[in-house]
Amino acid sequence: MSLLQILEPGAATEEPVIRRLAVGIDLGTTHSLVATLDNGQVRVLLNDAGEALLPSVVGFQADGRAQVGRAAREAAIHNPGATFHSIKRFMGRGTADLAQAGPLPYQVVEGDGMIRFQTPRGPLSPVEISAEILKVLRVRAEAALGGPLHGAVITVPAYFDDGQRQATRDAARLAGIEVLRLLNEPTAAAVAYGLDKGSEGIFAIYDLGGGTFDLSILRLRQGVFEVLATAGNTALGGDDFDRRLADWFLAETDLALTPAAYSELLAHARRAKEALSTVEAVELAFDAGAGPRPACRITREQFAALTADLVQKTLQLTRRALRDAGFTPAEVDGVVLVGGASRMPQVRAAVAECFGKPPLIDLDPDQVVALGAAIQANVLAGNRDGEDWLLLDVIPLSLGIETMGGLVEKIIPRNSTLPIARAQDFTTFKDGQTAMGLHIVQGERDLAADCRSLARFELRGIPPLAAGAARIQVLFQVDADGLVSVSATEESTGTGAQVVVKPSYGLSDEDITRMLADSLAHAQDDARARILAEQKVEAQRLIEATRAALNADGAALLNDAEIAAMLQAVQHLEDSLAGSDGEAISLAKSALDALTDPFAARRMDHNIRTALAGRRVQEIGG
Amino acid sequence: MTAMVASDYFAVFDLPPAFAQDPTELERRYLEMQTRVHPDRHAHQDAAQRRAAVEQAARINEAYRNLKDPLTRSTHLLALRGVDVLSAGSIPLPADFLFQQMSWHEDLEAARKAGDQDRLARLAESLLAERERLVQMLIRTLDEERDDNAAAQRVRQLMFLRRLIEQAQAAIEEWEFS
Repeated sequence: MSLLQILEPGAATEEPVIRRLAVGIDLGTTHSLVATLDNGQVRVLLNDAGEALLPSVVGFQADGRAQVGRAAREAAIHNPGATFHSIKRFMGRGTADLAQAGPLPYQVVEGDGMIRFQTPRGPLSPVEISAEILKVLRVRAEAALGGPLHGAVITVPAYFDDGQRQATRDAARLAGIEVLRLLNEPTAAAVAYGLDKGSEGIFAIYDLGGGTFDLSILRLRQGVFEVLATAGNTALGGDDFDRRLADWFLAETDLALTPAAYSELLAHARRAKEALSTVEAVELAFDAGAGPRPACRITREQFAALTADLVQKTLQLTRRALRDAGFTPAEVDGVVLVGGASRMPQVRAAVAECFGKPPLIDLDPDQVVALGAAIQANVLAGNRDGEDWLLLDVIPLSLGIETMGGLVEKIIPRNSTLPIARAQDFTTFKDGQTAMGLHIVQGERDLAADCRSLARFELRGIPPLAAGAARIQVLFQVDADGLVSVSATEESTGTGAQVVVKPSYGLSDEDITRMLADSLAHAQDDARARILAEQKVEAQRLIEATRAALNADGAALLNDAEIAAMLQAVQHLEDSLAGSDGEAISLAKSALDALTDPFAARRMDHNIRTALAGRRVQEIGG
Repeated sequence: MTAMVASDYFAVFDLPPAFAQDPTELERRYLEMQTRVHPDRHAHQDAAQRRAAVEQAARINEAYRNLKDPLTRSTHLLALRGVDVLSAGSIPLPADFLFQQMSWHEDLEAARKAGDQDRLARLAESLLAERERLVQMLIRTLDEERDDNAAAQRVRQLMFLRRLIEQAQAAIEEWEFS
């Protein structure tokens, strides 16, 4: 066996420098893009035609093949029923949510839970359709960087709830991308700006995308980006401005259109909207087939009046976030505009008026989110490049549990800093009650029915005690991605029903495996080979990490017997990697995991003590 | 993870268990510790290390959240001294506070119904000033006189005030979103 070198405590413990290929992906409503950081320079990656923006449009041809981007958008006119625009709007949503979406040219598959659309490839969920966009970006990135991706940071609107976040992560897994982190879009923009300018102070990030609006208030200082508050609306964006323009056109011209023709009119409206950012007036025309070609002229001022209430809505949310953060608009040092829709002059003017200062627009609002994500991806992949900064983000919506009478008991208030672990005790309502239903919801309203349902589960096996005697501890955990898990334990007897909650519209691990298998041409064998390959990479990572940890802290924190046991487990795992028995690798990996868990906890404690000790030294010295 | 329920949040930051705290110093220690344990700092390590990082970062967040706010800080300090603020509820609040509280409520209702934003803003301001006055009194009661029962009563007054402040802010928001 290979001998492991144990360093003296205090000796240099630099891990070997391995450059891991990591990217930032902005999976947007109207377009998506991918960026990376190399040689200290952050840049977006272009396709063969030199374009950065990939339109978030997916079309399915008669043979089931997917077309993504510009080609799909151009073919949409011949294939409206199987061309999906703005699919992000449906991520993590159920069929009940479709009512608000307006007329759609797609055929919805009836059923509970996640939305599914009928396509030439069969019924597909928004997760699977989004995965097609991500696949194109992965291929683009791997071609540009010359190797397989280590992982990606994928951005989501800050106001995305748990279901929408889970759906985004699932889409990435389907596309074969290891998700290093789900990062909030405004936070990503702040990273791009903050690191670019080296600024300190209070910043407001106003992010009006194609389909979502987010406003985050951040404090930047000493290399820490701290999100203080966030507010938003995941169903308000540039698309709504297009729709206003299209509806105005229909009212002016007395036209009635099929859903497919309306989709086309929307595309015209979008171009007119974009043109109005640079010219004072445009003509909106539409070829309705027979008869004369109706056309209407609209001025910038008219357009602003048509959409004034949409802009007002964003300002209301802005004021709410400021109140949550405890600041007035005048106290904000800088306002950053993000998202293509923030280019509209009426939006810029309204934001400038609200804060009493002109917004910052140095970085391209279409690219800034992907650039920030790339910077964070580089850090998470372990390519530090001497950067020393930290992001502290928050949960956008309160988490709670339904109690008697359909009321919500809030457990974690919105804008709490991530990660979070909070326990709350509940008790039984009736004598001899042995089961309890738990309904986890997310939102700000008082009634559970008005909040978003995340999950329901039952805790069984509670000992039959008098009403109010049982102690059920419900533990809520939210990780750094903003993903929620909940477990419950009956405390008086220790009856542990640990339940990890999957969101109501989420995918199970089996679903993912099946979809991965389905999407591969050679089904099962390839899927198995791929899973084995992933397992081996994971195991190799664990071995490397364990060795590095032993090198760094082994001598200080472990005794000889513990070190020997860990080395033996490492050797076992290495031996199993030589074969192709997935089960054996998995067993050897769990054995090593069991040893590294307590070691990791000790290392973290050690870390904290060092932090405090370091401070004492500073105090004496300073 | 369950241990965090009974843990001493002051000890997390190596601070003496006292009500008066320098917010700048508390924040500095918080950021320094997060800089070391946050999961982002351990993202490229093994799963055990990543889990430990999430647990510790969550514990530090929880401790900071409780110490940052005077209401939760005083409740926690009293709990460490064996006083449960809520079960101290049998001691009646002073009559003048109850009267004052009723008049604030009436003021709030009237302003809300009339949609009088200036009046709501003025009310919110005087509530915040009252809260600051109570906090100053609590420093004396908790840290100097160490009269825990009197302190528990003041903490309950703080709770009433917080609810009123929240209601005033909700009224301001309701008007803005209408």
